[in-house]
Amino acid sequence: MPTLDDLSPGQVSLVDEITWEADLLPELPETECYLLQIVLDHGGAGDGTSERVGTANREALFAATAAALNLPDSSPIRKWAGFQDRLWGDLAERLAPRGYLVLRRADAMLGGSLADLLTAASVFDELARAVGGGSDSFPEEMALSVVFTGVGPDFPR
Amino acid sequence: MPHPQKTRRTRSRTRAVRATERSPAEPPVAAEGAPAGMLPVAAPVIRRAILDPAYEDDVYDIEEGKRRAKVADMQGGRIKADDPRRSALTEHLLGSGRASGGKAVQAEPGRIGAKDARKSMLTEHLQGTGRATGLQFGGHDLPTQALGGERTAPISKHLVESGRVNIAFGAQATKEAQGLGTQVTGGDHSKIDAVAGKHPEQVDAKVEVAKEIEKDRTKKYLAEGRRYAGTERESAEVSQFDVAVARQDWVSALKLLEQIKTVAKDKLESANNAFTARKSDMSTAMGGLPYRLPANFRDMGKAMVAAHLNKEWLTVGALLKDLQRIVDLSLDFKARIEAVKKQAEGLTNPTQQKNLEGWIKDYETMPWATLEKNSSYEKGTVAFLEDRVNRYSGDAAKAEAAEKLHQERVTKGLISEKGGVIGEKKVDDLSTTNGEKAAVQAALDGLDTNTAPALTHNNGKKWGASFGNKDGDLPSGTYQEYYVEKDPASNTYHGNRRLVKSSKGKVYYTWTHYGDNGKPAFVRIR
Repeated sequence: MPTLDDLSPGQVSLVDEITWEADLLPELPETECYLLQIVLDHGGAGDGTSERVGTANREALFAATAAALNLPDSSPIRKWAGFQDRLWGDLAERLAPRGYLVLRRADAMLGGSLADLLTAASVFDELARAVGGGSDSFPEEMALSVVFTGVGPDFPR
Repeated sequence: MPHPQKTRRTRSRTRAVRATERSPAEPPVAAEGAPAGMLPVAAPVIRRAILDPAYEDDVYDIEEGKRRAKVADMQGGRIKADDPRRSALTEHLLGSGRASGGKAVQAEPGRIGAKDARKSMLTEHLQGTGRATGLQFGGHDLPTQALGGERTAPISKHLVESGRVNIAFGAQATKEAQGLGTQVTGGDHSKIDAVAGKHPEQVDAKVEVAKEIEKDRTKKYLAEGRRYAGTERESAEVSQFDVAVARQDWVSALKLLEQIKTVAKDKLESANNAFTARKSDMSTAMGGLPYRLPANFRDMGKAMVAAHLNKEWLTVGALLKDLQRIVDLSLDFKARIEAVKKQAEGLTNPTQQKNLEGWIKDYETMPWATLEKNSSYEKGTVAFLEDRVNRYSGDAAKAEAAEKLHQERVTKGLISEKGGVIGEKKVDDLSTTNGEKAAVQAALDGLDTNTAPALTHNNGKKWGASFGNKDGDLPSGTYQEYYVEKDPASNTYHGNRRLVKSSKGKVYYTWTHYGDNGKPAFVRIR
C-alpha cells in the first residue's frame, strides 16, 4: 500500500481512490501543506457499484477545477492555459513548502478523454516543476506532488 | 332570185285569193286614186280583171310590194311574235333569199326563242353567207361558262379567242388590247370579223393557240412571279401581282412583276453581299469545329446557293438568316470552348482536369439542339463548361491566394498551431478604458528593458514563465509568459491580461485569459 512518501514531488502518482480517501488523505499534515482536490463527477456513489468509466471529459475537468478553486462564474476555465494559470495563481496565493494537487476519480476520464487526462497530467507536471524551482516567477519553492486517484487496475491500492 | 312567170302567177293567184280573204279587221285594198270602199273607184279594177287575164298577177305583184313594206315595218316590232302572219313572212323571206342580210335578219336571233326550230335555219343561213362567223360558237344562247364567264358578243369573243384581249368588255377590251400593242377600233372589229369569218378554220386554230398561249402566259407569269416573290407575301406588290394573275390582268401583272423584280434585285444583291462576307466564316463553321453542326447545315447551304442562282430572294434571305445564326453561334462556341481549354490548362488539380476533359469530350459529340441550350447549366453545354472551369480556376486562384496569404501569416506568426488565424492589434488600438493601453505598454516596455513592471497583483506574477501553448492558439514554438496589470474590475487576483512572447520575438496579448472569457484567445501585439 502506498504511503505519502511514495508520492514524489514533481511526479504524477496513481492511487486507488479508496486508499487515498481512507489511508493517505488522513495522513496529510494540516499545516504547511498545500492541498487542492479536484473531484471529477464519476456518476456513482464512490462505492464502485455504479461508476461509469470515461464519463468525464476536459470540460468536466475544467469545471471541477473552477469549483475547487472557487472561481466566480464570470471567470470560467475553457483553456489549458487558463487551467494552468488558475492553478498557478492558487499555488502562488497559498504558498507552502509542500503541496498536493489531487485529481480525484481520474478514472472517469479514461477511455474517450484519455488524451485530455494525459494533457492534464502534463500541465500538473509542468506546474510541479515550475513551483519546485523551475521558474523564477514563482515566489517560493514548493514541493508539489500530483496525485490521480481512481478505481480499477490502473490505480493500485 | 327569178321565178317562172307561170308558177309565179299561179302561186300569186292563190295568194291573191288569200289576200282577198283576209280578215275583216284588215282594211280593204282600194284602187289608186279612189277612196277605199267606194264602188266607182273599184269599178275599173273589176273591169280589168274581167278583160285582162293577167290582171290578177299584176295585182299580186303590187300587193307583194306592199307586203315588203310591211316586212320592213315588222322589224320595228309591229308584228307580234305570236302573230300567225309572222311564220308566213319568215317562210317567204327564207324562200326568196331576201332575208340573207339587212337589219331584219340581224334582228331575228333576238326574237326567236332558243328552242325555235327556225333558229337552226337562220344560223345555217348566216353561217353559209359567212356573215355571222362569230355566232357559230353560240351567239346569245352559248353557255357563258364555255368562255370562262365572259360575254360572247361576236367582236369581243373574236378578240378573246384570237388571243388579242383577255376580257372583252368593250372599252376594257380596247384598253387591254392597246396595252398589248394592238389597236382595236370599231372598224378594226369589222375587219377582224370579216377576215375571221372567211376563215373559220383559222379562227378555230387561233382560238386553240390563244388558249394555249393564255395557259402558258399564266404559267409563265406565275412561275416568274413566284420566283421573285418567293413563298411568302412580303410586299404589297406580290399580293397585287397574285390578284392580277388570277384575273389574267397581264398589263397590271407585268408592271407589278417589274416592281417585284426591282425589289428582288436589291434583296438578292444584299443577300449576295452578306453571303460573300460570311463565306469565310461559313467555311470555318463547316469544318474544324470541336462540335457537331446541325445535321442539315450543309443541305441548308446548298439550298441557299441554289435559291440564289434562281433569284429566289425570299428563300435566300430566310436560309441566309438561319445559316448566319448558326455560323455566329458556332464561332462563338468555338471561341468559348477554346477559352475553356486554355483555362483548363492552368488547373493543377488532376481531378478537376479529368472532369473537364470528360465534359469536353461529351461536348464534342453532343447534338446541336443540346448545344443551343446555352443559357442553362445542362451538362455538356458551353455554359456548363465555362461554369465548371471558372469554378475550378476560381478555386485554384483562391487556394493560391490563400496559400500566399497563409504563408505571409505564418511568417508573421499569425497562424496558430491548430490552424487558426491570429489577429493583429497595435497598442494604440487598445482601449484606454480600465488602463488597458497603459498596462500593455508598460508590460511591453518591461520586455524591452527586461524589467518586470510593478503590478497591483504582484504576488505570484509570471514574468518569463514558460508557456506551454497546449491549446494550440499560438504558432508552434516556445513561449514565455508575462503578467500585465489587471483590469481593476477583474474579480480574480491576477486578472485576465497576459503577454506571451515567442522565442522569435513575436509578442501576443490576451485580455480574455487565454480565451477562457471569450475570443480571441490572443492577438499579436508586436
